[in-house]
Formats: sequence, structure tokens, C-alpha cells
Amino acid sequence: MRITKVQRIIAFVLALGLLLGCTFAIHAKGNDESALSNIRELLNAISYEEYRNSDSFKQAVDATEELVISGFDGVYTNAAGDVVEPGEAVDEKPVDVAEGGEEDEGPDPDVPRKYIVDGKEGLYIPDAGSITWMLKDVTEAKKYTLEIEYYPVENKSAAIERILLINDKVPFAEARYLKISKIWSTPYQLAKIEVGKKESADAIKKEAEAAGFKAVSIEKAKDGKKEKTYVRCEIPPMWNEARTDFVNKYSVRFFTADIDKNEIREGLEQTPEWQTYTLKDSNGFTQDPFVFVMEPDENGNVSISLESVNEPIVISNIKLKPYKENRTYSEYLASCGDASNGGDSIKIEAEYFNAASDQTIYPVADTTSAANSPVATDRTYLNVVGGEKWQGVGQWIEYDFVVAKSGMYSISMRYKQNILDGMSVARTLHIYSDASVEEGTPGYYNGIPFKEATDLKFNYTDSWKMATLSGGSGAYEFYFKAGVRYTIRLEVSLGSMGDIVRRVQESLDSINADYLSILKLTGTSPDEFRDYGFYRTLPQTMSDMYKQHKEISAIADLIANTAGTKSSMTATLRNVSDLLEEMSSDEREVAKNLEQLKTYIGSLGTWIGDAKTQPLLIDYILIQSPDAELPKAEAGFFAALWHEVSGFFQSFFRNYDRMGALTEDLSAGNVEVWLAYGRDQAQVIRSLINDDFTKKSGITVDLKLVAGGTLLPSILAGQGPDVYLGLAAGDVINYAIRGALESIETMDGFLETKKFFNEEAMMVLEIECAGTNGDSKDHQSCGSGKMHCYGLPETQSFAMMFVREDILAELGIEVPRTWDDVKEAIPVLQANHMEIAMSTDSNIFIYQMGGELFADNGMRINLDSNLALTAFEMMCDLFTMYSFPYQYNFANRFRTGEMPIGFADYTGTYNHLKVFATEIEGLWSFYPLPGIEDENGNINNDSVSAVSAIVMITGCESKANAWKFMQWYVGDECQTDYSNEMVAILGPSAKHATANKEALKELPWTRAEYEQIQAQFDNLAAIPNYPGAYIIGRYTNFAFLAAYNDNLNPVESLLGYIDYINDEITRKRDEFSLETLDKTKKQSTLAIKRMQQAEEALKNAKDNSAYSSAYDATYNGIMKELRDYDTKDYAALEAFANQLEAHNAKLFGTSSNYLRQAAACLRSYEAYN
Amino acid sequence: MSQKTAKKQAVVRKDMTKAQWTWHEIKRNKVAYLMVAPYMLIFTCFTVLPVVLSLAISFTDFNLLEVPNFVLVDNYIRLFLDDDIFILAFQNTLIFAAIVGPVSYIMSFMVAWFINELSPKIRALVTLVFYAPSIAGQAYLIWGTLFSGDRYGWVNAWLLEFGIIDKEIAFFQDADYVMPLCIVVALWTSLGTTFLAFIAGLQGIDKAQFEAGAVDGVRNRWQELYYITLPNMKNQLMFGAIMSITGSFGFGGVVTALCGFPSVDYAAHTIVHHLDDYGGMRFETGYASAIAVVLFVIMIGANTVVKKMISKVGS
Repeated sequence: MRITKVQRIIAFVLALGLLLGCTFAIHAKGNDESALSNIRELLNAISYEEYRNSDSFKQAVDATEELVISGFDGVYTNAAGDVVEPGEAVDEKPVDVAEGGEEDEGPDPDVPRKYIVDGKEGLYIPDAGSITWMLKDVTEAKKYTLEIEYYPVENKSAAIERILLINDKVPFAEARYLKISKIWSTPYQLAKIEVGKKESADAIKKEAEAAGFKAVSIEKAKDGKKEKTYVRCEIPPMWNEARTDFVNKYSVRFFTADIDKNEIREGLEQTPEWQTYTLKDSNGFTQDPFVFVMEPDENGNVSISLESVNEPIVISNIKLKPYKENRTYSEYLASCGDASNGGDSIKIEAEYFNAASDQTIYPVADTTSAANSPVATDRTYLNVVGGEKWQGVGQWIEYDFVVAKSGMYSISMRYKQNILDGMSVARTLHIYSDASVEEGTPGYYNGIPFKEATDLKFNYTDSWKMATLSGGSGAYEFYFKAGVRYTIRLEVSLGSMGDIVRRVQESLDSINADYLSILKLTGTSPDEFRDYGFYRTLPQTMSDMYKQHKEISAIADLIANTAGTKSSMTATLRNVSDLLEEMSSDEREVAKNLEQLKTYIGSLGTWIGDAKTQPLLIDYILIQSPDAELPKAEAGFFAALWHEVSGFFQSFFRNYDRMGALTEDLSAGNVEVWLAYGRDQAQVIRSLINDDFTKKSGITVDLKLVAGGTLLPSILAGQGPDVYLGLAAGDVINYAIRGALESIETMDGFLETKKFFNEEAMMVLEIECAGTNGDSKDHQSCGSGKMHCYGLPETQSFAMMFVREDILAELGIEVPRTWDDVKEAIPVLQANHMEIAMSTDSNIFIYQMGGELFADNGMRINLDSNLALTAFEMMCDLFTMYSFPYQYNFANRFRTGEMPIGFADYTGTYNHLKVFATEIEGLWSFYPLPGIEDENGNINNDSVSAVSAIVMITGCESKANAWKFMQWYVGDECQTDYSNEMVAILGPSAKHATANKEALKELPWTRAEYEQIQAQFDNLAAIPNYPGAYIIGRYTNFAFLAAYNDNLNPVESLLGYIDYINDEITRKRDEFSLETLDKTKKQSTLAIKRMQQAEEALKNAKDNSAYSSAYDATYNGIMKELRDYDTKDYAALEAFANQLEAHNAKLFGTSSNYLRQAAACLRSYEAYN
Repeated sequence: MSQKTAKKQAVVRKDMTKAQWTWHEIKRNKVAYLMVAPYMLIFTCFTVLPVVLSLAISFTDFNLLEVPNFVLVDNYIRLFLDDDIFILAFQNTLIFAAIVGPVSYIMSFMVAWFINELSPKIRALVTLVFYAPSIAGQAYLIWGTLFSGDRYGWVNAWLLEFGIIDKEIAFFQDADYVMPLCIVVALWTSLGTTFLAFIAGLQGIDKAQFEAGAVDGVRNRWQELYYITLPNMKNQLMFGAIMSITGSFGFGGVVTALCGFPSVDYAAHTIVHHLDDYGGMRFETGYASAIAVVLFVIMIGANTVVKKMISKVGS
């Protein structure tokens, strides 16, 4: 096995040649503007760490002066690359819709314009395109931090995202993900303080007014039968001691309560304000702001551009500031002078925050402790904020307060962090003072007060705890000046973990690359006994694995040292490190352990995900003198016991069914609505009903959450609801045909409502014939061609193509647009041991080829047509010839990169990947399905959609009310609000597949995502539901499996099942007395029906005054042909139809039409029999 | 007082009609009736009534949502003469029951017998080990992972690794494997109540009988088993047999969970599945009831046969 020198030289030369060749090849391809160019650039981008270590960074000098660029100096380029001049200035204090009546269209959201709000002006920049500012006459490269003064325009609920480019280049990878937060706040209600028997309303009112509450009034109202007195007041704009004391004393609540006094969550609203954003790492890996090098080109210019990713923004100016390190705590303390301790004690309820960065941060109810503030077992108090809703880096909450006595204060919190076992979470504290304090004087704050405030730790605790913000030297003290409005902002940060997580993330990226390079050589199940010679073939991979082993074990040591104990966090790292060591130090171990490595890559991804989440639940914030004592965080033993016991007994009395109902008054009508979703969904719908539907229509809604599958038995028992949400389209038809649903096509405004949806979504809810309840076998309306509709579409889901762009870019595969592209990509993928995920559904191909699944009005299956057979064969071939895997876990393999392309349901898969595979965030996206290209070059890429609907149950008490509810529920507004709320509550992984066309535009997808979805949404096909349809999937699956398992000819095996399918369809149709293809059945065939109709129409025509005797010959001829309806001569019928039209097309329009239809039926029967 | 009662009790059977006598007896044993009433009520409502109802519905074309029509024996005619799948399901059920019923029965007994020989502490532990699969609800799903059609399913991964196959086998989606696999899984989960009852039965036998048997000339364990052990636990044997038979005829959920519904090419389609198909998917409750009635009759028949066989044990 010795390698001679000559061999080495030859090998070297060859390798060099290959390398050069590759470089040339890459350069040659470099010019094409492909969809993957972005991702290539992304993959090659350097990290901020590398950027800071680069020569150009080191050579640049630190800036000394501050530069301010006005927003208006920017040049806006739209997505198409055209420069667009800013439009007319519009005064942005929006027209009050309620007063102004009609909301006017407003300026075009896609055009930049001058934007004046709150006395400040800025440039409105749309959510697409990019804007560039020029710095002129720059003499040398200088280092700056960037600060943007912006106004988050009220728009969709998603955060603002931008990419920063300097001199048309993204300086480092992190500059691609700039997240700029919006501002949200709760619309608090007037508080309602119940006056007790021994209290006086006037005294309370006076007390409230003395504390500075606004809008204080006394109100008398009936609660059940008793007359009660209430004092009402408004939430104050900022807190002080008197106000918080008052709130605590009377447990004043500023939330809406339902009839059982349960507090109802208010959806957060966008309350934009001018803000300052310092460009920094959105991942939270580094706490310091980014430092950029402004390097002039040959003309002395530097361009700074912001490329839009998501959401519009208004920018007033950009400040380039020299980088200055923040002061330390001791420096800060020295700047405060020797102020004495402050005297106030302000206890701010955490649920009364002034603003938050995200819609997802909202007050929640916690009943785990008897010491919660406030607490009760007979009702729901929204008494805490945070937890899993407040765990993403960069999310913040703000509280405003004012102290009465200047001096030093400490900030304490009652908190709980029981989600991340054994770990601490971190927060960054920002403090802002109002304009009355001069910069540089004590009491002035503008951001993070001192360095240590970026890493405030909260330790793991399984019960509630009190904690004062503190560091190594003890509790931090803050100087607050009397009468100044201070804002404290608590922002989620990774603290000292940031650097660690970044290192693990980088390591993971390397290990992933190593895994893929091994995978490409060996496939997923390498042969253990084969000598792959990894040291020879993959020297870099092997050395990198060793390097990563060292790195990860170093990180594990670091964590263990800081935490002092071994935790499950380090165990994962150690396992990975050990495995890497084993694999890199002995090449024979590589093949054996590849599978294990894949698992570990997954757990490392999960590790990062866990380390990045920083959940923290807070109950209240206490601002008090540093020497004051902290209250106890937990109740005593007996209080806690009583709390639990009474909670248990209350559970028997509390009516969870009507939770959230605001009124018991049913006078305007009531609709009983059932839904079989989760509790979250039910609560959102409930609050939308309260806020919108009941308010506007006066109709109350009895919303009940039921278990799936309850509908059928309840209808059977006559106990069904009026309206049911979320019935699959197949079931809609199943129920409708048995008379269990009301048809809705005659309801008021049906035609307008129908326009909310794609035709494809409506079509599957329609059927020609259906049972009418009571008179069960009456199918009079059948065959008239008139469709009845039995539901309105709620969700419409369909498959799209998910793609790992990084892998495709690496392999040089373009995102496929046709199935031929896919087939071309298969060899490349398979050479690298990769696969494509595909479902065994041939319907997509049938519809892409322009075919139909059913023929003859659903009387027979069209699978025996040439087209359908070709489609079926095409699908089977992908599995047999191209060996697509039949069973697989897509998300798992997509994550590891084994399946870089997959076709799957768009929302389901998207949601899954968003939470499950956070480490590949940004490396994948989804596209419309590949299609089939016709001879004109048009690509048909239809996806078959599945619909779930809202339906009206037979026996519904008030059809009009139920219809109003249905119309409202599927309407633009409700669907948009519902989708946004779901995302607000459950996070970005709760995307809802709405069927409403308009609502889809408003959903919190990013612009790029939305465009892809819309592209597919416009190209959908639907399979109408006919009786007996369930049998098709079953037999096509059998046919596929025969082809897949036993290598039988797919066409033959499918043809073998056609008769079974048709028999079942005929049998099922016969059960419902529908016309079939079988003349022996009790109902005649469709042809006969059409002939009867033609005869009828002809007789009518004869009675018409326009009829003349000249037509007699034709008339009699037809009558003779139609006698007994047993003619099979379709040619004759068509000839007659032609004659009739030649005579008088208007008079005989209907008759000739029926004749033609009868002829068409006969023609297909002949083909069928 | 006591005389009076005695007098009252001294009623003679022949003095009254049968109904009167029954009523009299009921009154006399009212406490017993009261005790049994809750169970009888529930049993009648949820077991007897449904059986009777399904018999009635089987003569109609009930579809769950509309008013049924009376169709005489159409359902039965169609079931036996015009339903190929039913015949297939019938056949599958018989194969299934014929293998799983007896094998699981004998297996249960054998295992119980062996375990009975162990010392009490170990016996308790081993009992738990054998009984665990059937109490742990959906434990059979482990077979789904084991024989997953994915390349990463255990069996597929092994077979691929040892080079026995070169493309993964979709075990539960391949007509060749479905039935045998389901039988194996059924046997694995079958050591349930039957097995426990056997253990209890074995423990309940008077040790003196074995000594007596030894004196009377029992020469080996088999004789001991047949002449002493088995006759002593006839009740448990009976109970076990009924449980096994009903279990193996009603075995459906596991197949659905593993192979999907319906199993590929109806390879493991049993009568229970057929019933599900018509009752659940096609809303043909009338027809489904007819299937249920047939299944009911089969089970009753099988039980009668088994009862006769067991009564002969030891004689």
C-alpha cells in the first residue's frame, strides 16, 4: 500500500486540475441570476466574528464624530429594480374610520412617501425593494455603529425585517437578519371596583382621584338580582406609589370580565411610536452593537442600503456613531453622586405593562400559588405575564413609573422560571428617562444603564421567588429623580450564554457539513466492513471533526465551570464530543457511527433551540428603597393548602362551557356553534365573537368545544348544534346527501360570500342531489344541473414543494419547475445519497395533465382513461424506477439534509419545521409544485386542495342567524384576525391555512413566503365529491402497492380495480336513488333522464307561440327516436339537436342541449360497456 | 312475632301460579336483587339492548341519519351472495381465530404452568413481565417501529445492513407479510387476563390432591396435569377459553393501528374490519348490523363448541 512519489505527484496534479476546473466551472456559472444566487451568497458569507478579525476591519480607524443622514436622502429601488421617487406627503394622523364613514383607500403601500406623524417626519419605505443612502467625500475607512430612528407603521403583526448592505454587499451573515420590533400594547378597559357593604363609594372615588386616576365615576348596575355599586376608573399612563397602593388595596382590574367574572384576554394592538434601533445581533449571540467599517470606493462614496424582507417602516434618520463601550456599574454608581435612599415603594402588577415588542406577550392566568397578586379560585385573573410567551431574544416589556422622592432604588421581581430545568435565563435592562432630565446629569437614562445590565440572571425555580436585580457585587441600585417619568424595559437576552450558543451553532454547522460530505460518499447506511479510507478521501472532514470535538468539549468545560455542576446541558455536548473524537481518531469508526452522528446533530440542534429560549414569568415588579425588606414570595402552608382545596371544589361549580360569554341576554337570537379544535382556538374564536360578531349583530353565540366525532351521534340523537366548524369536505357531502345539513345557496348574499373563495374551494362543497330530511327519498332536484351548496370553506390546504436551498445550491441544482427538472435532479441527488419525499397521490398528475378523476357526472371513475393511466404510471415510476422512498419521516430527513426536496402540505409542514428544526432556519423555503409543461411552454403546476368547511345542521333554530354567523366567520376580517391571533398566541408555527382569498394576503407570512403561497393558491385543482368516492383512494393504493411491492405493471393492476370502484359507485348511487350507468338499478341512467328532460322541454316548446308547423317533421322524428328511451343511436340524437338549432336556436335551446347531453352519455356508455 | 313470620313463610309452591311464585321469591331475596340491580341495569342497557337492537336494525337500510326502511333479509342475502370482501374477511377471521385462539390459549396455560413452579417472589416478577404487554395499552405499536417500512425501521435497517435485501420492505403494506405479522403481534399481546386467571387457578389447587394422586399412582407430571390440575381449574379454563375466542374473533384494532385501514388488498381484513368499513365509513348501519349479527352467531357457536370440549377435560 505504499504510495510512490510519482503517484503522489500525479495525484497532486490531478487534484489541482480538478480544483481549478471546479473554480472555472463555478465562475462560468456565476453570472446567471438564479433563485439560488442569494443562498449561495449567504452560504459564503462570513460571520461577524470573522468580520471583526478581518484585515480591513483592523486597518479601519475608530470614528470620532457622529454623522446623521436624513431618511429623505435615500434612493428607493423597488423589487423590479426601478428607482421610484417618493410620493405625495400624506398627513398620517389617520382618518377616524368610525367618524369618517367610508375608509378611503389610502396611499399606495408599495410606493415610498413622506410620512408625518407626531410632529416628526420620515420616509415611508415599503415592504419590498431597497433603499440606499450615500455618504460622500469619505476619505478613509472608519468604524461606526448604526442607529436608526424609525416609526413602525401599523400593518401586519409580523416584525420588521431588513438586510443591511454596505457598498452593495452584505458585510457579514448576521446583517441579513435585522429584526426591528414593533410596539404593542393592551387596550385596557375601565376598571370596575365593587363597593362592599361597609365601604362608601364616594370615599373610594375620592381616594382614586387623590391617587391621580382619571375618568373616575360611580356606577350602579344589576348583578343578577342584586343592585350593586361600582367605582370606575381608567388605567393610569404611568405608575406611582399611590396608584399601585390603590390598585393593590381594592384589587383593581383593567380587563374585561365575562358573566362569571373571568377575565378575558384582550388582543394586543399596535401602538406605534418613534423609536431608536441600534443595529445588533438579532440572535443575541453578542450583546454589543454591530461595528461597521465604512470603506469609501474610488470616488470617496459609501453606500448604505436596507433591503426589505418584511413589513414597511418609516425612517426619519440614520445616525453613524463612534463605538463607545458602556460604563461599568461602579462608574455608573459614581456618576449618581452620593444620593440617599429613595422612599417610595411601587409595586407594579406585571400584567399592566405599558408596551411590549410582540403580540405574543400578553397577560396570562396563573393559579399555581396562593401568593399570586391577585389570586382567586372562583374566577380567572390574568395575573402574570411572560413564560413561554416571552422567551425569544429581543422580545421586551416596558413599564412606566414615576417616583415621588429622588434617591436610590432597587428593582425586584416576583418571578418563576420552571421551564428550563436547571438553567438560568437572562434579561437586559434598559431605562429611559423623559425629556425633563438633561443628558449627563444624574437620573438621565437612555438605554442600558451600565454594562452589567445586559446579563441579569434569573435562576431556575420550581416555585415563585423574589429576586432583586443584582450582580456579583450585590443588588444594583438605581438613581431615580422625583417627578420624572421613567420607562424600564426588560429585554430577553442570552447574556453570557450568547457567546457559548454562537460557538455551538458554528460547530454544529461544521459538523453538519462533515456529515453531509461523509453521506455523499457512503450513503445513509454505510457498509461497516468496507474500507472507505476516510483519511485519504476526506482528510478535511476528518480533521474538522477532530477540531469540533476539541471545540465542543471546551464549551462543555466552560459551562460546567461557570455553573459549577454537571447538568443535562453539558451531557449532550459531551456525548457529541466523545463521538466526534471516536470517529475522527479511527476511520473504521466513521461508517459504524454515522447513524449515531445524525441523531446527535439533531440533539445538538435541539440543544441550541433550548439554550436560546429564555422563558420568564413575572407577577409583579417592586421598585423600592434598597434597604426595604422584600415581601415573601410564597404563601404560608395553610394559605397554600386552602388555595388548593378551594380550587378543587370550585372546579365543580365553574362553568367552563360559557367561559368568555359576556351576556346571558338571548333576545336577539342565539346560535349554537360547535367546534372540535383546541382550547386556544376556541378562546380566540370566542373573543372574536364577543368583540365583533355579537357587538355588531346582537346575536349571541353559544360556542362549545367538543371532541372530534361527536357530531354524528348528536345529529342522530337530534341534539346537534346549529353550526359546526371544521367539517372535512368529504364529510360535508356524506352528511348532506343523507339530509343532515341545510343547503345554503338560497341564503341572503350567498353569491357575494362565494366570491371570498376560489372556485375550487366551493366546488367540493356542492352536490347536485341531496336528501331532504323527513321525506327521505325525495330527490326531485336531481339532474336539473342546479348545484346545492352545503358549507362555506374554512381552511384550504394543499401540497407545496419544500426545498433545502443550501443543499441544492451546493449540488448546483436549480429549484425544479417541472417534473422533468425533478427527474433531472434525481441522479445528482442519488449520487449524493439523497432522496425526494413524495406522497403516493396520482391525482396531482391527473389534474396537471388536465384530466379529471370522475367522468359522467360522477357515475364512473375516469381512471381507465389514457390520461389517468399515464398519470398513475408516472407516479408509480417515481417509486419503482426512481426508487423514491415509500415510508419516511420527512421533517427528520429534511433536517439532516437527506431529503432536500419534499412535497408536503404547506401549513402543516411549515409549522412543524419552524419549531422542530430551528437550526436550519433560513436554509429552506417553499415553492409551488413542479408542473407539467405543454407544447406551448405553459407549465401546469396545479396542486390538489383539501377543504374543511363550516356547515349548518338540519333543524337549526334560526337559519338566518346561523347564516349570519357563517358569513361573518369566513369573512375577510374574522379570518385575518383569527389567523393573526393564532400566531400571536402560539407563535410563528401556528399558521392557519385560510380559504379566504383576501385574508390570505393579510396573514403574517413574509412577503417572499406570501408570494409563493399565492402562486400556488392561484393554481389549485379540486376533486368534486361524489357518492362512493371513499373507495377510490383505497383501490388506487392497492394498485400502487402491487406495483411497489411486487413490481407488477401499474397500469394493469389499476385496471384490475376499475370494475370494483365502478361497482361501488353504482351501488352507492343506487342507495341514494341517483341515476347510474346500470340500467338494472331502480333509478334510470343519466341518458334516460336527459331524454326525458329533452322530451319535456320539447313539449313545452311546442306549446310556445313561436312554434310553427314547419318544425313538425323534426319534432315527430325526435319523439319517435325517444320512444321508451331505449335508443342507443347517439349520432341520431346529435343530428336532431342540430336540426332543432337550425330551426330556432332560441326556442329549442333547452331541448337541444338535453339531447346533446343524452347523446354524450350514450357515447360514454358505449365506451364503458 | 316469630310464629307469625314462620307462618307467612310457609307458603307452598303448588299453591300459586308461576308468576306469583317468582314474585314471592323476588320479594324474599330482595336484597340480592337490589345488589345485582346496578350491574344488571348497565348490562341490559349497554350490552343486551344493543345486541337486540342490532338484530332489529340488520333488517333495515338504516344509514344513521335518515329514517330507516324495512328491507327484510336483503342485507343477509347481499352479505352471503354478493359481497366478495365479506367472504374474504370471513376467511381471514377464521384463519386468525383458528391460529391465535388455540395457540394463545395453550401458550397462556403453558406459561402459567411454568411460572407456577417458580418461587413466589420471582413468580410475581415474571408474571408482571409476561402480563405487561397486554396492560400497557398500545404497546403493540412497538411492532410498528420494529417493522416500519421506512429504511430506518429496525428490521429493515438490519436486513439492509446484512445485505439480505437491497430495498426496504414495507412490511405492513405488503400483502405477503401482513397476515403473519398480525398473527405474531396478536400472540404477543394475548397473554392477558386468561393468563392471570390460569395463574390464579393453579394457585388455588389443594396441594393435598397432588399427594393423594402420588399415592394413587400418578407417575409423571403430564398425568398429574391431566387428572388433577386441569379438572381442578375447569372454571378458569372455561373463562380463559371464552376470552381467547372472543378476543381472537374481535381482533381488529391492532391490525388497523399497524396496517392502516383497510389493510393492503384486504390481506388482513377481518369481519370486525368489514363491520367498521360499512358502519363507520359508508354509513350503512343496517348492513353493518347484519355483519355484527353474523359475527355474534359465530362467536356463540364457537363458545358452545369450546364449552363442550372443556367439559370433557380430565374425564
